Amino acid sequence: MISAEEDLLTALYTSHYRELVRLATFLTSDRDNAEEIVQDAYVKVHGSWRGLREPEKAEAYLRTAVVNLSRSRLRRRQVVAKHQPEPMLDVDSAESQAMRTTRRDAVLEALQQLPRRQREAVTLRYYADLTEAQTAAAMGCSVGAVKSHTSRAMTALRPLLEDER
Amino acid sequence: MSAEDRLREILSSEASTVLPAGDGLTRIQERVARRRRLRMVLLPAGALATAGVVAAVLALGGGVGSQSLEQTPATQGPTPSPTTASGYDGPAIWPFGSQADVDSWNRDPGSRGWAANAREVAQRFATDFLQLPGVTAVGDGREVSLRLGTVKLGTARLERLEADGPWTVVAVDGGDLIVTTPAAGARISSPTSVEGRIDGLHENVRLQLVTTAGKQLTQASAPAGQEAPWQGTLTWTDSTWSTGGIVGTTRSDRDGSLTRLVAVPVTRSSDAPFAPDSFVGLVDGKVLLLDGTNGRRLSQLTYPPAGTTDTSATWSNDRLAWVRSAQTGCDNTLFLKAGEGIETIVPGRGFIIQSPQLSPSGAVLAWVQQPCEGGVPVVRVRAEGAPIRDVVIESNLATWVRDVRNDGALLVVTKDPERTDPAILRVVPGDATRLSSGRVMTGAPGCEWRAAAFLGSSVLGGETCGDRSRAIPLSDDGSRRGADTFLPAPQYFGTITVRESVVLVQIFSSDVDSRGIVGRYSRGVVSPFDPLPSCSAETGAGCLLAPDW
Repeated sequence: MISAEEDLLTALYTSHYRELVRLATFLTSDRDNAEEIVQDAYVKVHGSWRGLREPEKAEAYLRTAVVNLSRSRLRRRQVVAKHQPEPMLDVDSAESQAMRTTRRDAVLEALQQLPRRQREAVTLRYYADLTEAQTAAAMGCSVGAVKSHTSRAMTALRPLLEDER
Repeated sequence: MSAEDRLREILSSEASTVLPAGDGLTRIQERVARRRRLRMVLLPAGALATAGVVAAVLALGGGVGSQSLEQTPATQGPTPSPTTASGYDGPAIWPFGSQADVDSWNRDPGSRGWAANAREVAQRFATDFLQLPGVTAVGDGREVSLRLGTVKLGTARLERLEADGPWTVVAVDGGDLIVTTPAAGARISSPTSVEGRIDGLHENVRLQLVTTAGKQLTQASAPAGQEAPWQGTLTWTDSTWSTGGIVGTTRSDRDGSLTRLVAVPVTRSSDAPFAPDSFVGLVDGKVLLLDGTNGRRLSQLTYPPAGTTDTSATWSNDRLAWVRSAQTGCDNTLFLKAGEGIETIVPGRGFIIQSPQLSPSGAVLAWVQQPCEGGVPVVRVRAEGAPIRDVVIESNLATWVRDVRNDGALLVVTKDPERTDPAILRVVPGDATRLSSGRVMTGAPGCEWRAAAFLGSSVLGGETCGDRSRAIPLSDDGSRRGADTFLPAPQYFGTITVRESVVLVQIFSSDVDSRGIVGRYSRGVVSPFDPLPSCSAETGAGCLLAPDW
């Protein structure tokens, strides 16, 4: 049994690990911790291996776990930030403004400024290339909500994307 | 290309720059294996008891087999876990500061199952608790090395507060970065002096006080040097925590990367007097927080971007308001920090803003605002939950708000720039909308008011007569209630600020203006703080201006 589980783990790692790390990076804007989130997801899903009625859906379970763990990470970061008397940088420094040299960076930054669910929706739809139904399953919401979040996100991003053309 | 396709292209391009480290599978496999073993020791109590009986029978019979040995430890690693009935009984930092924390974990580890593994705890201590990205925990058991690349930052010491219970960090040994005071487990109160030694040259030690719950209460910087003891002061007001740690770090002069990490556990002294003894002031165009007991620098509060400078600040009840001015052009912004948020009260461009003042509760903010192109200034008063009240100044007078009460009453100094008449001090009622409705404080002939503050229900004004100055207690009705002794000539009051009836002043000398004396004041006597070490009497660089508490 353990050997079969290990084989499945290895197969899922080979197939999806890198893409899930990238997904977690988009969802959390945190490259340093994205791998840890995805590893947590694998360990978590591995714990339910035997309960999986349809092992072929392991990828979807992993993706949902990554979305949920990313949310937890963001919440924790917000709590920490709330109590962190960091320097009060109320405007961008000249250096950081100078570094934002391309529209592409502006789009990525705007993506990070979106409300969490809107960011999740467009990332799952346009990075992970999921259908609306798959996105809804990963986010734990209805297809209608996915449509709404995606539409609002695109309304916010469209001016930057159109400028790019 | 549609906007959606363009977004796909950008996300795909950005994703290609994210490359996992390559050891992910190994790490997952290790954690899965640990989890399997952990499950075996986290069986329900009845099953554990049964296992204990079986183990005892086997031990008595001398037949301890390899299988029973594999099931015993809760964690792996070269250091055996304590096997005593009770666990570690000393002070701890994180994630468990008390037996109650451990009891909670025992009932439901929840998402903190990792606490059964010492290395995991050390890793999360660095990256989650201390927010030090890139630090790696190496090793296991009671001593785990914390590294940043090839640099060893320190050694985390871990213990279990309960035999076979979860691990907790009890200290970090920082190598040649040593904290000598306070001692591990000391009961501390605000302000606390933190002292230690370090071997490096010209290193600054950044100090933080962090609670077991993960809240950073305060931070400070301590200049340090080879073979010279360093010292910093931590000041805080939160009285809701019980355990935590004082954390010290140093960084490389070359690239700012971490070089050392030390941590000692501390507990809050519950019988300590509440001591919010701190104040703010301006140094080189930045707002600093300073120790109210000795005037030493505690921390920097604002970081003006290049081309701007902070020109005035006021602080009450943990709220800070300050004016940021562009070094060229008429571009001034008034900010208010209350809680976690920073609010722009008056956006830049168009107005000169000066002398902001917060009431003792911090709920009322008053300032003087004047159009850049000229015109009559107005005093604006912003109280929580109420529209802004404008106090109209009937003629074009130079105007400064010196203080504001919780009821919105103002203490205002005005001077006619076109005439040589002395400056006038008024108390303006909290509901007044015209400056002229304020009551003029009685000045002595030939004297003028420069600084002033509310002192309880009365006023303390700084009066200057020629080259001599003194403080005058005044009633709200404007009458003088006596006079303090004169300051040595030619000194005068630049600032008077009062908190809970304790007076802090800044006194300048009109012949050497750049370096003011800051200190506590009582009835004509100033108890000066030492000037900031960086203050230049000649140029004023590094000197403290406009203290406020």
